[in-house]
Amino acid sequence: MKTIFLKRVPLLFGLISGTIFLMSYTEIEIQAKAPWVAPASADTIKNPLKGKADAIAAGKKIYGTYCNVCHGDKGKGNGIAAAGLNPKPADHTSAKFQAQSDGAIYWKLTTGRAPMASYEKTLTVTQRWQVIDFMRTLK
Amino acid sequence: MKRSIALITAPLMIFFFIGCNSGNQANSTADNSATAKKDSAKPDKGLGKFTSVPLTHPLDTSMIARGTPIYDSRCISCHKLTDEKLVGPGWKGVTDRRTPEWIMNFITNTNVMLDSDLVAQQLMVTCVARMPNQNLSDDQARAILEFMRKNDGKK
Repeated sequence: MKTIFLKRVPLLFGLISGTIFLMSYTEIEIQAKAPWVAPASADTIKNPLKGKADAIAAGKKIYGTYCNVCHGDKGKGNGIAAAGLNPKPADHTSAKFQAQSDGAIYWKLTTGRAPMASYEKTLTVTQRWQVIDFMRTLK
Repeated sequence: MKRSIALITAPLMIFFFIGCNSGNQANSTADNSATAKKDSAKPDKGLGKFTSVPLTHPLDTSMIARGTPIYDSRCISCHKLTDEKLVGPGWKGVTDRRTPEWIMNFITNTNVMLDSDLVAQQLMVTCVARMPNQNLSDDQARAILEFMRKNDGKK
């Protein structure tokens, strides 16, 4: 009896671990496909540089350094790294993207959701608003 | 048969959780510990034509000078020079974590490495991103390696 039980230990372990594996995988799949929505509170964050020409110019430069590799030069979500990403990079020219408030975009840029990085430590607050001003020109 | 399924599933699961746990951390330094054991056993050279990359002491300044603009144009969008993850892992300490051969193979043979090298695959899970092949020449890749060595304070 004891030997039979021992023989079944690897099988049991395999079944349990396999189940956990599948569950986690599914969870990640769901996370990856769920729409990314900023919390409503983000809409109250105001853009201090809204529409300023020099901010747009500075933002364009930042976009060319950090964003275009995934989001593409024109913001269509078709950068050179886009093919290997899931979820796919957002199309910044889309009506859906542009319908978001500046605050919501700022929140996403600050928070990140892999593979999208958090830019909290990479871009200053000013730089993040600058890049948002530039993104508003991508229509 | 059943046992073999179990034996296959168990390491898969372990591999998966290593990736998952490190993926939840803001900074991607987690891969250090996962590969530390491997380093002590046998040098992991990755997959590709680079089997021996001689390093110079002191660092080759002309290579660093060539590597810097390549970093600024091709790498900076995803790799920070600290240990913080951006899209990909930060580069601080990369020359200690990986062999020069592994780095050279990964830069120049990116797709094969991402398809078949376990460490590369683990990083892909951690970052939820597959690094695109940057189409760098061997010489450019070597310049980047020297740039990484400088970033790590190597002399």
